[in-house]
Amino acid sequence: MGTQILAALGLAWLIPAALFGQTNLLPAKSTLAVTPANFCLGMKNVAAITKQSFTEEANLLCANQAPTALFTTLINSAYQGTGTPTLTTVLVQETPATLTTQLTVAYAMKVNKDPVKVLLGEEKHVSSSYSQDPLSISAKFMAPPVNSGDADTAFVVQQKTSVKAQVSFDDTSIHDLKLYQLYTYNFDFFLAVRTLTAPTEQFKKSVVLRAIFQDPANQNQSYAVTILNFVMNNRDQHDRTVDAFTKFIQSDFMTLYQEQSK
Amino acid sequence: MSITKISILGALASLSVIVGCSGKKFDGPKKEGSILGTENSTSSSTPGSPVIAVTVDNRPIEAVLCQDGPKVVANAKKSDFTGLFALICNGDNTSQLFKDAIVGAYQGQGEPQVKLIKSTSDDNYNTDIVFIQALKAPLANPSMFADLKPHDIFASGIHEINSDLVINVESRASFPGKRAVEQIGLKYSLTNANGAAIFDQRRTEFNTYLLVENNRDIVVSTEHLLDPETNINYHIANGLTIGLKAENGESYMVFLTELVIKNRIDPDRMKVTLLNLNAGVSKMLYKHISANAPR
Repeated sequence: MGTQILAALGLAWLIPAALFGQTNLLPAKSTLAVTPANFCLGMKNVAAITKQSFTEEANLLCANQAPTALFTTLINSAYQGTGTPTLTTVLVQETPATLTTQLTVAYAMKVNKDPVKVLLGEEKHVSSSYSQDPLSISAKFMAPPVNSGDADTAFVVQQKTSVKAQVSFDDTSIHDLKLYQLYTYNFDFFLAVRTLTAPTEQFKKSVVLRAIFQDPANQNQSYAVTILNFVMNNRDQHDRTVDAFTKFIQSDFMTLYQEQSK
Repeated sequence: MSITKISILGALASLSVIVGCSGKKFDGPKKEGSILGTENSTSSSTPGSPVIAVTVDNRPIEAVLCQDGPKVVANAKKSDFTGLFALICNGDNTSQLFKDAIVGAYQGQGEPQVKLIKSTSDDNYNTDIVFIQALKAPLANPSMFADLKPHDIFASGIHEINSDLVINVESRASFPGKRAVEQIGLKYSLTNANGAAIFDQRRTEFNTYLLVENNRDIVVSTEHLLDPETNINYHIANGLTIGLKAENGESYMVFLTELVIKNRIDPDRMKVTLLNLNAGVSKMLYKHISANAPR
């Protein structure tokens, strides 16, 4: 009745805003338990929107929406800055008929940052270059793609790969880098995936998948679990290809850890 | 003077990429950001006195804005704009923030001054951002701007530095009721946020009002979010655009924007993006007016 009188007197501007229907509240903080199981359950939300192809790599961490033994092992042995970081080799396979080498490896780190900051580090990491005889790799951002709701954040990255050895070559590849929030209004689970937009002379497949989630025991710490899967032209140099790119991955692992530890 | 002319002003406010007022403020702990108050602002104006020497309805035009503006807008019951009016009015007088915006209005030279009034984020990644900016354009009165259809120039996109925003007009109605002279439905698509492709869309409604009947020298437009319940990234997207006749055949347009952005983990990116785009809006509008305004 009071508000009706105010309105009748032309004083509706004195009526509290909530009475105009502005009663919607900001979403509450997520209370979802931070577990690898919930990470895997959240992957179905990414699968529902993504346009990238990374099923093979995702299945290494989550099978039937549950953590794999590999995922659990990686978490339990996550690098925390002491000792020698180790790569877990999932698959090294030569295909002579196509002169290609598949190299699939994994690693994990635990850093003193919340998952949001770790995810934001993905953008900064793109510009980290690598050069160790005979392989050099650098990357830069291109114009961003159209985002039609298939990711939370998307970038296009141009990578230059150069080898100076008995067989020398330069390769330019274009990659989608997309960041995903596994649950709306939740800031504990994220996924970053980098995929090749089209095969090149060097890369027939290139996927880097990183699962990022909060340490259940410490909300200011995070795990970053990475799967890398490359199918590459080995130019009939399988062992050298494996050696050169394994060294690159090892170095990139340490570079990322140092960046995330700042 | 057609109604259409007046409505366009409203579109201007929306073009400024948001305004808004306070609905529900988040009350979580503020962990970053700042509130840039008006206390430290400077201008050549005298505190409390109008900076625009134009009268309407036998009152200083700025007094008309502060006396009638909140009432006319509130009576329309579109959203709560009291918070935005509180930034630009102290009682019957305009605030120092408003006067500073007028004094620093973009006139086609240098870079537009987009002032970040508020930028706070809570620990659930809700970010409240408030901007103000103004321009002074060669228009005899603010309603003349309507003929220039300024919102149309944003359909092809606002590009500034490393960000892009597209605003499309989805609907337009004259005399929709509640004293509005025009109502425009807008769709915003932020396609490039400082180099990143984020999915960021919202629909708003833009309503334009005459504060004094049959007087075209002062016009106020409001903008509010149409889909706050379902939009996953915007809680509030309110705007207030003030069109005021100035001296010597020119008019001021002041844009106040408040966005409460939710579920966005990178508020710094949004802040940079919005500052850049708002500057771009001022430049595009001024250029458009200068090229097309009746002489």
